[in-house]
Amino acid sequence: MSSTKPGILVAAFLIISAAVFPAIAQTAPEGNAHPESQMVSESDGPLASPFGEADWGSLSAPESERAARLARKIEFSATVDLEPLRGLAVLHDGRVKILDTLARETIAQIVGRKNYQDLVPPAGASDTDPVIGDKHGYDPLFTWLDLMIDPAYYADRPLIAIGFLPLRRNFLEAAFPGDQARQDRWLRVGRVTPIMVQQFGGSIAAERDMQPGYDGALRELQGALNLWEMSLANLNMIAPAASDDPWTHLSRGPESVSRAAADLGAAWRAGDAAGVSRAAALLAAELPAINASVYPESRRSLELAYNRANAFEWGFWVYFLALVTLLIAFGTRRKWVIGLGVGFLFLALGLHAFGFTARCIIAERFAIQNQFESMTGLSLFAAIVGAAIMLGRRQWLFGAAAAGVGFLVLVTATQTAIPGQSIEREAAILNTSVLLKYHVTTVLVSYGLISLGFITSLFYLGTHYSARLRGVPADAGGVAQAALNEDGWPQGLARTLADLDTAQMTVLQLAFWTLGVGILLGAWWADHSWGRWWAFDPKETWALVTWIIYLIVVHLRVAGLRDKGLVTAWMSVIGFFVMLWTYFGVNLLLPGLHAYA
Amino acid sequence: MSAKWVRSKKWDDDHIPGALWPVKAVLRAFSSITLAVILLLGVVLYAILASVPVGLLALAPTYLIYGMSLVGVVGVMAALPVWLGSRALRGWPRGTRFVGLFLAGLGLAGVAVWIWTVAVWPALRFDAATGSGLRLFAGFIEANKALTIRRLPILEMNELEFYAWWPLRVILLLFIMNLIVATVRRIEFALPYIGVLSVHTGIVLIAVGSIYYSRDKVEGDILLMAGAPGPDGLPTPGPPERRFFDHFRPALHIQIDGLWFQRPLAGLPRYNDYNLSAGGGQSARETINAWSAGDDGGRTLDIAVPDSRALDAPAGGIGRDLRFRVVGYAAYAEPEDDWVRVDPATLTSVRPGMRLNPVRFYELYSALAGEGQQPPDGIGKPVARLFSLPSDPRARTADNGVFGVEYTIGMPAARWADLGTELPEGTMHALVVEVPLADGTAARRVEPVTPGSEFEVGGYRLRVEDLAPTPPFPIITEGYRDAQSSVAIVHVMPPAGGTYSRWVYHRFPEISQDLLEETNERGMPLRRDADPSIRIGFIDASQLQVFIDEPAGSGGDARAIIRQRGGAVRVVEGLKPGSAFEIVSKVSIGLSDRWEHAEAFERPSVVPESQREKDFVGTHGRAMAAVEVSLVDSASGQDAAPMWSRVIWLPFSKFLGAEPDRERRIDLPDGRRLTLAFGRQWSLLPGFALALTDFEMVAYDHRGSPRDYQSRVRVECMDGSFESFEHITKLNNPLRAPFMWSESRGWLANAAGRVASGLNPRQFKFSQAGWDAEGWRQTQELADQGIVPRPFASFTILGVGNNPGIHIIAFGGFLMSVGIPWAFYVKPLIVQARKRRIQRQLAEGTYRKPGHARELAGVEA
Repeated sequence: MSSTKPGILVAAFLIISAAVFPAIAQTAPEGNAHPESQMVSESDGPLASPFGEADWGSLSAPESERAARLARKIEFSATVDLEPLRGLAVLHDGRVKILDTLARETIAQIVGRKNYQDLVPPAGASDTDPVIGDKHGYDPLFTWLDLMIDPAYYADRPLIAIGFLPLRRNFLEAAFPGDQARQDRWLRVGRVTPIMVQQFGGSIAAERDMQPGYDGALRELQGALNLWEMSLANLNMIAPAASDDPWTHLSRGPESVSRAAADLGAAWRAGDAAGVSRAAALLAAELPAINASVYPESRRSLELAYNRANAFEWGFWVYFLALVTLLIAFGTRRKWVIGLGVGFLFLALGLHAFGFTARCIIAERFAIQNQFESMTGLSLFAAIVGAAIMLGRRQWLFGAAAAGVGFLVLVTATQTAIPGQSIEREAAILNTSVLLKYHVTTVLVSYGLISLGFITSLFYLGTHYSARLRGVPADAGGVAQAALNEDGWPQGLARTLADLDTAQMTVLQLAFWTLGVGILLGAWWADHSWGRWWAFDPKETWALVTWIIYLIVVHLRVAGLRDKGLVTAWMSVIGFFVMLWTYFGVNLLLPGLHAYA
Repeated sequence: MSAKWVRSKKWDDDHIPGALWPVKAVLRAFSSITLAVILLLGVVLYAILASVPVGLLALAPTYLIYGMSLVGVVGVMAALPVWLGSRALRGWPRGTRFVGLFLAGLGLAGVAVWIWTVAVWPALRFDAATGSGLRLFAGFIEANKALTIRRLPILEMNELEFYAWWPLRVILLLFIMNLIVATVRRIEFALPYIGVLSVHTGIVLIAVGSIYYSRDKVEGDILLMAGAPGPDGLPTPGPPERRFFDHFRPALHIQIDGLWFQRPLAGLPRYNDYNLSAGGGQSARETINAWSAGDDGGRTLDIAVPDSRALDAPAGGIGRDLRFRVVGYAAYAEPEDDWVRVDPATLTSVRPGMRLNPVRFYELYSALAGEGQQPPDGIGKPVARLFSLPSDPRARTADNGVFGVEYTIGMPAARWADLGTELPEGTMHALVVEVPLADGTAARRVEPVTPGSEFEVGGYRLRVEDLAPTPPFPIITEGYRDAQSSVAIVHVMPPAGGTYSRWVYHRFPEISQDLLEETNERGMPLRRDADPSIRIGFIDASQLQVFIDEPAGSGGDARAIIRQRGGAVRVVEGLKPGSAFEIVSKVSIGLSDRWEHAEAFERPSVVPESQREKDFVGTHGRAMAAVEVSLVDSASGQDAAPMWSRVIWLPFSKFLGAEPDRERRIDLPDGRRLTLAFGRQWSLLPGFALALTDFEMVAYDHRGSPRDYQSRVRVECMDGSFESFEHITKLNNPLRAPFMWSESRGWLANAAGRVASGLNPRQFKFSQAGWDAEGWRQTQELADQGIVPRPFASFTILGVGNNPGIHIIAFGGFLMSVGIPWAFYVKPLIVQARKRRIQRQLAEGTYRKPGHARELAGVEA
């Protein structure tokens, strides 16, 4: 008799409940979705630029001036000291953050990458066309301020990212009709100029709005254009007297602040780096003193450290090193390689844990409440479990599995368009329930374990098939036969496979249980908050399907199969992809109540 | 293989005769794990069909090819060389060989991925705009990207309906049988298996609880209004409300003699359109190509609305001579006004003396040459079709801001004369003023005006206060409500004193009004009809205007005034149907169809798929239903041929009574008037009512996004069974009623009450579900200005639901949660301990086999 038989019964009655329910769908309560992002803050009237009026006259400057302006901009950006401004607080999108964060978010939204890069033409060449040659990248805070103080500089430069290729082509065809070579050059840059957007955006939108893919791309483009035109509205930097009141715009601050901001703008336009630095230092001294009891202090430093550390990106690189080193250690059994790999793994874990903890403190909540955060959380948990198994069993391959999970999940979270990279307020429904936090955490733990099981299973498959390629019978039960084929090595191989099989089953059983408990906790919370404990919402359904896959996995172990480990490993791979669909696909492609998941 | 399973099989062999082998086979099948796995896979496939659109499913082969291409490139460029390398380096030390091959494989894999990214992927990647790249079944995918099987017209099911459908029931029934049989025949009833037994118990509890739960489950929401503002400007406690609306049980609501009745609508579609042209005859908007019936695939609908008299109690009913059927359905549509041609002869017998509503169609012709083309001959080709309703002031004009056309029948002579008056060149606005004199003549003056102009006529002094292109306040005169016209506001100073302001509408001089200097009790100026001792006409010459009129008694002949921007005017007489006249060079208007009578008809305008909000799809929330109202002979029964019938399209109304603009009236030939609404079934809370006493939205710091919504609600007992109380309902903190945990009771009494209420289907839970966000925002502004003490909301919406038996289900879930780890982690420990004990006993020679094991010894041998 298998110990997993209860699983069938659990599944049965979770599912059969559907058959006896009346046919009623469920509706989302108020506060069920994340608050909508507001990239440009609303204002209660026209706002003047605290930095003085922008000079648009340079738009009509002769082309020969462009190279000189570019050189001046590069030199100015290198000499100006913006450090005092970086940690100043600003209320944006419902959260008090620091200017450095806001600048990073704004530039990423406009430019589609972490920073703006000027394309530096070869000596003597014009830069009216982008030439793929030298690039000069700028600090996002510098670019953001420059966009507000000297927007004319960017009007005819490739500034605004258009990720949707057909739309980018439409703009370039409109801007350079018949000039295929120019279109190709611009196409590679991936960005268009604000002038192009303003000239052709309306007609392209009118023509293409209803075509597949254009709706979202045009919305993103409009958002980027708004930020280019109206970033000034986001300078809500004067703290209020009480935490219930909104922050005030920089242009409406006390005289000393207004003067410092105006001086900064004037010095900026004059290219006076020392003047800018002086004004920035003055602003940095004045602003925290206004309503100092409300102005945040220590959290600003932590946020700055979080931004600077870039812990998740460094984390995946170190995880990668740990993965490679521990795999080599697995192959060579050299102690110093093992030590190095373990060292890398713990360094990566340290970076990962720092990033996660700092984010929790900055966000003032347990940071697992959007997809980016949940990925960083679940991978941290899985990596810790993997590292613990590694230490407990002295099997370094489990460390490699831990590093593999950390690397894969963090690289996906940081290098792709996973929603939630900015720290935002959570959905009200999440904020007010402890039970829901247990539900989400438990399910994410199970996803982390599934990922760890997947990597372990990949190692099993890699070990199995590499042995098969070499003609070694590699199934875990074939120890005796393997022992006859090659001296010493097959027994080790069989032991490794047996260990891997035990490990994958241990992890998958734990995943199976935690996922089951997570689903039941979700049902409990849904009854409490949504009024129905099970409604076959797509997320619920697919969580159940994922669970059924692992239910099948654990039952196939007692179904009289010849190579249980191999079947388990393949099922683990399938289960991982089903989990990925549950985790990402359902959210992105199927409508449901789990809008925040 | 468990010992119990061995015993079970032996029992089969011993007790089931050979002739009954099918029984044995079925018993064995239902005892097998393989069948369980197959059935579970069936459930998985069913879930895929239920939740994933077929367009997405059809993408699978394409993505398989994408993936295989990557695997292929990596295989050829990395795996193959590594394999060859491993054979070539056999003599090398193991560690060196491993490092070399591993790093080579890693590097080659990286190169392979890069090559795939730059060389293969661009060719494979599908570009929706150009159709380049690889996507199998691209057309099918695009057409069905949102279509799940359950949305097909033959199913029309939401998710829960699909999951409650018989195919899944059959799978689940088989699975449960498999489960029970396998459990009984395979599992020992012993301590190590207590985890399994806990799970079993939990399952039974969940099953029993679910059946009880589903039998009486009710789910909906209730709208609680705040009371009228008190002296401090804040709302007072609102009225008690007992009526809540079921989430997804649609109903037809019928109001007659001031009482509402409801009729459940069973079998209503959800996702597809049916008979979109229901009730419509010849459409005026369709005639001018301004509306299309949409694509309903030729599907028809005929759902009889049951005569649910039980629901009518205690009001008595709506009359057996009325029959209702749903004959059309638009799944996602907006109501759109239209006019349908009706033969007056068919109406006069029903409503004698009624006023006809003629329709006049005309076309705009252009003889201008297109780009690179010759100009067309004659008056050119039609470029637009328009229509007017001469008897309806709101619909007798067509105005696009560049030029306007007004079509009247029997325009008063004075207005015709005013409009035909030539004005000095460049005049944009002018007043025509007539003051009757004592000798029977009149002093008349045509005066070009601008704001501030002053002049005198017949002793009256006039000053133009404003010339507004649209009325500063909406027109509320009956028959003209919300009609549009430019307006001149003229300050009139009569010779006898008593000044006033006259509002003169360019298009409606008949509703000119005088606003006096005296005010009413609210401080607003008193109004009166225009004083006949001075007539003021207003000519708006700021754009090209065409006035077409059929004079009374002309036999249908028309005349036209073409007034150019800036004063020039031309009059055309004797226009026959079909004739045309030039309005500017090479642009003409041609008179075309005439309908004697048309009736307003509201019909659905289907919202394109891409513009639909997903949350409303399949919920009726944005749907319209066509209801046929018939009069039948009550003696002949509801199936008799109707004596009269009419179709009316009803937009969905979420809260009956709260959205009067979504209710529709229909007049019966016998003079009765019905009000109809398409909404949700309502029920009454049992023995209590709720009243909103206060509401607060709690925001994140600095007025960030909402963090919580808190409705202070008073639960008023109506039958004396409990004491009324107040509770603050928050997110994740629902109100429970009639039983609520109370500090005034002891813990035991509370716990007992909680358990009892958990079984009671009349125990409800109320969760925060919606609020008056706009009202809160507006009153926040007022609070900032110091007008009110704090922001407030004028309503809140609470979700309503009962959960009979939920505690049983929850306890079952608990047992399952603890049973699984017992089975996974505790049972192996117990088994290992037993093994150790047996080994020790064997070593000591004290071991005795259990009785059944001794019996089976022969079988196993």
